[in-house]
Amino acid sequence: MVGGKLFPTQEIGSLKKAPFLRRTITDLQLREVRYWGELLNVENYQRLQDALSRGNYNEKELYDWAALYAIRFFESAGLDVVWDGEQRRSEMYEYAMEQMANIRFVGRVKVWDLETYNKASVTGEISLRERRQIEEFLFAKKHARREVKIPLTGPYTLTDWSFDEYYVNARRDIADVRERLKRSRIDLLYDVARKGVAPLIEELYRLGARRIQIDEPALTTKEDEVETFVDVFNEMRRGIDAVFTVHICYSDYSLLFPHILELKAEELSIECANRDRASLGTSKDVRTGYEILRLFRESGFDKRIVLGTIDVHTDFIETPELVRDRIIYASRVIGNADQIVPSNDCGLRTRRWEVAWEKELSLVKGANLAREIYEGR
Amino acid sequence: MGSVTESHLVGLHARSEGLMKLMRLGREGKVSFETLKDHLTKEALSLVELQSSAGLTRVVDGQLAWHDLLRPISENVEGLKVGPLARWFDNNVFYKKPIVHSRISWNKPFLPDYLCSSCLEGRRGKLVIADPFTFAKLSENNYYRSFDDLVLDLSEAIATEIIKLGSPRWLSMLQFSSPVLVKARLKSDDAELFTESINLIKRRVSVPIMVHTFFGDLTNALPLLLDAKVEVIGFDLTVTDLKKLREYDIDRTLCVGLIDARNSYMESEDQLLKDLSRVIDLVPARAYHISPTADLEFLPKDLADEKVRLLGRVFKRVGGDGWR
Repeated sequence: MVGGKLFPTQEIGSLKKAPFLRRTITDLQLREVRYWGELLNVENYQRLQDALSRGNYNEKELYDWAALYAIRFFESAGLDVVWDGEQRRSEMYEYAMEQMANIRFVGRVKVWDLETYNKASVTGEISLRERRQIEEFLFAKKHARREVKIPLTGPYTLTDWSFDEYYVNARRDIADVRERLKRSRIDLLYDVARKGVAPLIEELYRLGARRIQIDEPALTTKEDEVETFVDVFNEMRRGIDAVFTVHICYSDYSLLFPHILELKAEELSIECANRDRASLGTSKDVRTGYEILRLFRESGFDKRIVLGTIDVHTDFIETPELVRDRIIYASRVIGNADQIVPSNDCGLRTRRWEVAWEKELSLVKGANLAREIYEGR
Repeated sequence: MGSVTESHLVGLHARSEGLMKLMRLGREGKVSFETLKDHLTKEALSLVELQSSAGLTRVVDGQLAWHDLLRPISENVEGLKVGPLARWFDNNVFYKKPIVHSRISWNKPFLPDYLCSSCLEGRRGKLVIADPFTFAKLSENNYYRSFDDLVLDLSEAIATEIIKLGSPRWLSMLQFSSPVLVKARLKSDDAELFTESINLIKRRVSVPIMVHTFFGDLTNALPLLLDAKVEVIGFDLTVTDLKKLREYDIDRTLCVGLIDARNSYMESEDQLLKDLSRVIDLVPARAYHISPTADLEFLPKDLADEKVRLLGRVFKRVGGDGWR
């Protein structure tokens, strides 16, 4: 819990780029700087307005302003745990891989239909050559008025979304092809964790990070590897006295069991709103997106669940009452309201700020309504 | 001991970034259908020529107009519609789940719109399509009470579509892509249903049939495939336990998915020859073909093309009676 509060709210990471992160600044962007600056109580936003009007700014300053606007965005909406909306990041995979040594981006590959991503190939032993997340964290720590959570792309997802030309070659003496690939993939996964992600975690912790989110949307891709991931994660966080959230979205959560019970994280973040209905109510028939929590309860899952109550893939604005009903139903199914941390399904980077703002207001209001019911007011 | 007699690709090829850009523009109505078709044809022809010059024994058009293996069927066969995204097995790739909303029946020819027949004319071509059982398992069935009826109606529709192609001279082999078969060991009822569906098509279509399995261990499906009337059985070497395969008496041709279609790593020819040699030592079969493990759509186009050349080079070293 945050400050001993029932149903503390948090976001998941990304927010669409700030309106002024554009190549060309027009009057429209200037008006948006003012609109959001006033609405979010961004201190000294007039300085940004002046700089943009005069064309007197550099890239770093703009990204700092974008991070500040995003922090204030979440704070003003009333969330208890905030981040900078990943304003400095291009995309969760590419941004993380760019900072690794011995990788090469080999081109765009299909995700579906005509959607693609820039995929990297590992060409040597993994290590970190840059740590831009440190700068992100220090800025957020300095400016945030609420508790800060920094998201990092996790080792399993980085491994699964990359090609490997090095570790597989190092295992070329294994005659059995299947065994060769299995072993080399595990080699890569452990090295990404130990040399690519753990050093960042350690440094962030040393600098004061006390909430760290590990994003693992790929985790259920190969169900027989969940156990290995749990081992990798547990090793990675050993000795780090921070609150860890593992975020897994758009996945078949049943595949996580039973191994997820051994995960040494304080919180597991899951997407549910996307699978749920939009009508009000706290019955099983309506709250279809939250039925999976039965499995969590029956399995004895006792970590906090960062619960997706806001669908980030639609402009539909959930009402506070809908968020409330989702929280109440989830609390009932899991059997312990203290385990529920209301949140979004995933990052909000695909939604316009106007839409994201309304959604976050509903999230916070919905959590307040649920809290009032539970606290008997 | 069989020899390595053929080499070919097994499915969807990677599109160039230029083609994808054009297709996006086409989707937005900013490029005419004719322009798009012209570019699709050029890229398909170029791929066919690449396979020929690499020395592959059969060619495919790369299915560049197919967004996923199931889409032409779900977009065109009566009773189906295109549904939401779903993960394509254990990949960071997604397909659109077909939704079965009413009785399935063949309606009108559609494959000519998705194939580049002109690219294949005068060559030994191969048609690649999902088998009916795989298609049904990857769909959401909101209509049929009996899964068997769904599979058999799909089989009829697919057989009709192939017949309506009119036996083009290039059609030298029909490949069913069947990843569902090897995801886990099939129940005996499902195995019988798969065999029945393939045999139903085999009775109506007079070209050799290959069933290619990938993303899973062939041992999950080999007994049932040996019961089906298929000439060639393909498997993914990167996930198959060869030692278990030895337990079967394989009186068919095996297509060895040798080149890793899901990794940019360019295997050395010597390494591939060693891997192939091990297959032949461990798993006797009537003859062998070699191919990539799966569709090459998982790679950027230049690397996918390079894997085609690599397949050709390996085949030149082992093809016919030239090896062993």
